[in-house]
Amino acid sequence: MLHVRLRDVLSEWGAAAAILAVGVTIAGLAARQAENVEHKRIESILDARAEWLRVSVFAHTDGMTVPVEAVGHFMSTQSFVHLDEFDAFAKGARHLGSTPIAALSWVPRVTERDWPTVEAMAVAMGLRDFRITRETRPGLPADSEGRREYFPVLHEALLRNRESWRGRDLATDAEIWSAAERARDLAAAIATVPTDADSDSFHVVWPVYSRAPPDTLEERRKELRGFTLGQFRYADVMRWIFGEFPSRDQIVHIFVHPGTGPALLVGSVDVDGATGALASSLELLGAQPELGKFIKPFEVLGLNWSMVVIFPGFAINQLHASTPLTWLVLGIVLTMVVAAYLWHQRRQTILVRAMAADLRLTVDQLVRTDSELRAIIDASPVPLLTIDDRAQIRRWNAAAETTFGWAAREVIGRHNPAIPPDRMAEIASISARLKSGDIVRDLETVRIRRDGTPFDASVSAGPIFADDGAYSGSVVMIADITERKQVERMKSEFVSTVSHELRTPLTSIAGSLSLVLGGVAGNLPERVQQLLGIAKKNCDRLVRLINDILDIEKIESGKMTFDMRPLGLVPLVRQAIEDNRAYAEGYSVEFELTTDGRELQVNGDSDRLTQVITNLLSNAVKFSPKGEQVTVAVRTRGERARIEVIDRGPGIPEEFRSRIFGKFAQADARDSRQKGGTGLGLSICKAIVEKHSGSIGFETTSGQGSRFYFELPLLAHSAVKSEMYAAGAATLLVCEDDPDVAVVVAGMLRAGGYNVDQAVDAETARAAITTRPYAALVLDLRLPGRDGLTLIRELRAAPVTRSLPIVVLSVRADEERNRSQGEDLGIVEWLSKPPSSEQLLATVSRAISRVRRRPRVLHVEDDSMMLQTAASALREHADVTPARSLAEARTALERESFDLAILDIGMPDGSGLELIPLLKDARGGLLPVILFSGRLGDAMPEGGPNNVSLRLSKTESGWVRALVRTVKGLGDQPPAARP
Amino acid sequence: MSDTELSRILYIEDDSDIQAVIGMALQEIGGFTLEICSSGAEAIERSEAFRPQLILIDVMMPGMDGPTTLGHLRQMPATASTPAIFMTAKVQPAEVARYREIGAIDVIAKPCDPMTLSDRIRSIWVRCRG
Repeated sequence: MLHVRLRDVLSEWGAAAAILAVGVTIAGLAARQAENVEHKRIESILDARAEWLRVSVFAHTDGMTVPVEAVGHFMSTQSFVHLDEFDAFAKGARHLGSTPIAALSWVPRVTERDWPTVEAMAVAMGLRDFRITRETRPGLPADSEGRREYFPVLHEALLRNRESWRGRDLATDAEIWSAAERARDLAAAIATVPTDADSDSFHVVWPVYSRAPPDTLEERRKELRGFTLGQFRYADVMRWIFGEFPSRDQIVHIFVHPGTGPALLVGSVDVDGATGALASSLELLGAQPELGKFIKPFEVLGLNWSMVVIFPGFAINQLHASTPLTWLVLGIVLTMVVAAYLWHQRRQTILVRAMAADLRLTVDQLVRTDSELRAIIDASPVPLLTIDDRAQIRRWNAAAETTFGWAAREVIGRHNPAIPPDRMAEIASISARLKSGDIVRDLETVRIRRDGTPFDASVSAGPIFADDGAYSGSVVMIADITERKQVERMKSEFVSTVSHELRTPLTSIAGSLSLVLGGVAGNLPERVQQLLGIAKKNCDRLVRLINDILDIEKIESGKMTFDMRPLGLVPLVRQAIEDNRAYAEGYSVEFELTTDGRELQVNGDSDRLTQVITNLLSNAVKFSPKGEQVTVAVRTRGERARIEVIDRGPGIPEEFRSRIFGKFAQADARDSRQKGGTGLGLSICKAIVEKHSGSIGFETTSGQGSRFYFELPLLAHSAVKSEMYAAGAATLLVCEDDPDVAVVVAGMLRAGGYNVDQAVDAETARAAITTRPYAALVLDLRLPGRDGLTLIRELRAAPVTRSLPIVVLSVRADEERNRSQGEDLGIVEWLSKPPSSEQLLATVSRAISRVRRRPRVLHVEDDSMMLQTAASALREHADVTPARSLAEARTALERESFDLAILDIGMPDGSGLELIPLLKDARGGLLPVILFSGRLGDAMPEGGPNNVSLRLSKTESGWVRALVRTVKGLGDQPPAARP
Repeated sequence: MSDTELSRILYIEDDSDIQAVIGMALQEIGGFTLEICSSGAEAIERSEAFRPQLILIDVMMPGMDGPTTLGHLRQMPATASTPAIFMTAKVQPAEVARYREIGAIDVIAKPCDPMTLSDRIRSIWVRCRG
């Protein structure tokens, strides 16, 4: 578990959040900025459009007055215009600019004096009902003398859904008169300001003067002849300006500003088309500035107007570039990417930090453990070092520093400097053992100190393996055993010296006595002889005692060496009996040997075993009554050989039985003196027997006798071969009576990877062969008892051992071979003694490989009796698989491979020959085939396939022998030649 | 002086008692002609003249010990290849092997039976020459 801290996790999220926030903010600001820029851009585009509209409206309205002006000019040039003339001219003028003029009127200036004249004129023109309305009130126009001036509508044209205003004094209309006055004074066309919210039209007043427009105000007032008046409907005007078609791209509202009072909406253009409606829509005008709304003022016809252009959302959107959005999105995406990356980095950092914390903990633990170990190692009084897999020193404890003289820092990383140069081979051997997993215990050797002095050392070492099983070094303890060795040497020397010092005078004593008693110095009187005899006897006893003491010392210090060889027990016992016969005769005791007739082989030191047997024999003789027999029995007991020495003496007293194998243990002093024993014999016997992996014991019955026995493991079953059987290795039997040769041959074979059992003679070999299967027998022809050749013949006679590979070792191998030529001795290889290791191994290998396996034969035959006959004949030589039909044969061929096929040609489901193409060996070559037929000749292909070894007829006598011979011949070929 | 039978033995032993006993055994019982020396130096002096067929040496001697003596004798033509037998009370197996290495054909342990010693020596000698 990683120790991820909460703080870290929070900070991790916090950092991510912070980054995200910052990024989003920046992106937002950038987007807003882009938005502003975009707004401005759109505004300027729309503003331009609005401006264009304004100009258009202005131009239109300006042109609106053209017919009014035109008529005005016309009237100013005429002193008198007939009604029809006026009408015609007006109609013509209307088409100028195709303005949406609703009515065009001529309004002359009529004085009080002229008034009747004008009325009469009008009537004369046909306007019978023409009367000038009269009104008097303040504010109405008057001349310089104060007399009323009238402005009646005289001519009218282009009436459009309007009543006639003929005769009406326009001066009485405040709206119109206000505009007229201004027009007169400004000599310009002036529009009326609507005062009535329901009015749907306005008038344009054009002043007509009696001559070209005067320059001064006074003149203008004086020279005024009248006005032309044009009436326009707002709706018509709007339609005329903005077309008949609805505006999709913008909404336009036209406002007029009367001098006093709020602005009045005079017309709108939107998706429903242009409308002209008088309305007070303050909100449109006075609203906050917003995107797409423009207020454009213009002045025309003497009035101030405002045009409000509203561009609808979609128009704006059309213009709206996606830049700000793009900026925003990009910004956010970028931010998120950066944030993600940074968060990831942060996370990694946190993980790494947690891992580092864990690691620190582990390292702390390791350091603590290491410190503990170091303390333990340093505290050890024995020099202790550890080496790595390249034998370089890793640890060197305090004791090593003291013992060897090098400080740890001087040797760490180097090879052990304490090894003397002449011990390198030993080091290599130790190293090899360690690497293979062995532990080295108490190897006595020599090491050197820093000053070069060598000292005796005992090395113990154990390998260390890593988790993956690789060798990673060793722990080595090197103990200074100088003292121990010195003590040992001293003891050894002491014993040696003492024994020498004791033996030297004894030599003289015993020798002199011997000579005297032997008559060399002349004849002796009987009494002298008797006394000297006593002296000699005790002298001999002393010698034996010294020998026994030495033996005991050797055994106890582990210094007794045994020369272990395979040996036959029975001959050994016989010899010991023979050697002690004279001694026994001195006690009037006879030996009797019984065996079970079997050859018993053990691994042992013949001298030491003889010593044991001799000891038992002499004890038995000593304690036997005169004239009695000592029986010696040699037999097997399970997997051990047992030698018994039975005496009919007094037996062993009860209180003594538990100490009998102890040192200087004898029933009582008197007895021992008389019997001449040393008291050490049995303890030496016990030690020797136990060193032979055996056991020693006794049975005794007081008054009847004792039976002393010892048992040793039999050679065939003993694990005295110090090398364990190698699993999977073939086991060979070496039958050789010369122990030296046997050891050498066995050694060579073991080195070649075989397990080796040994037999000293033919009988033992024979017995061994019956108990276990050997891969081969290595045999010396010259053997005691049954000779080798006889053994081979016997083995060949038995079916089980007929094909046992035999390698014959003989001093004169060629001779022997020649002599036995013609005999069918089976697989025998001949080798001259002494063979070299290579020769021996090659020959053994060759012999074995010749009988690697029995050939596998497929017998295709539908006649059961034939199958049985052939099978029993071939049983010893081959493994036969029967097939009673071609189908069966095909199945068998699919399942396994064969070395040979016996084919009957006439089969129930076809001819055996059909199978021939299927008979292939592992390499694709054709197998050898034996063809059988009841009818030889027909159906047998002439010339046939060339893998046919034999053609036989079932009716031919001796076909069995021929068959067997062929199969056997196949089996005897080395596998390489066999397909 | 026939060389096919053993007759001349150079016997080197510092202990006079043992000298007497063994000397008597070899001469009276074995019938050998003995040149008895009490030290290695004496042996070296007298071997040339005596021309022994066999050398019987005690191992443990003061001054020059048996093996050293034999080594010197081997340097001399008369005894360069004369078969030698060691006699010693110290018969450790390792030492026996060593004695054989330095040129002894056999080792006889002390104490030995003087009655049979001559036969033993004779058979050793015969075996060695055969």
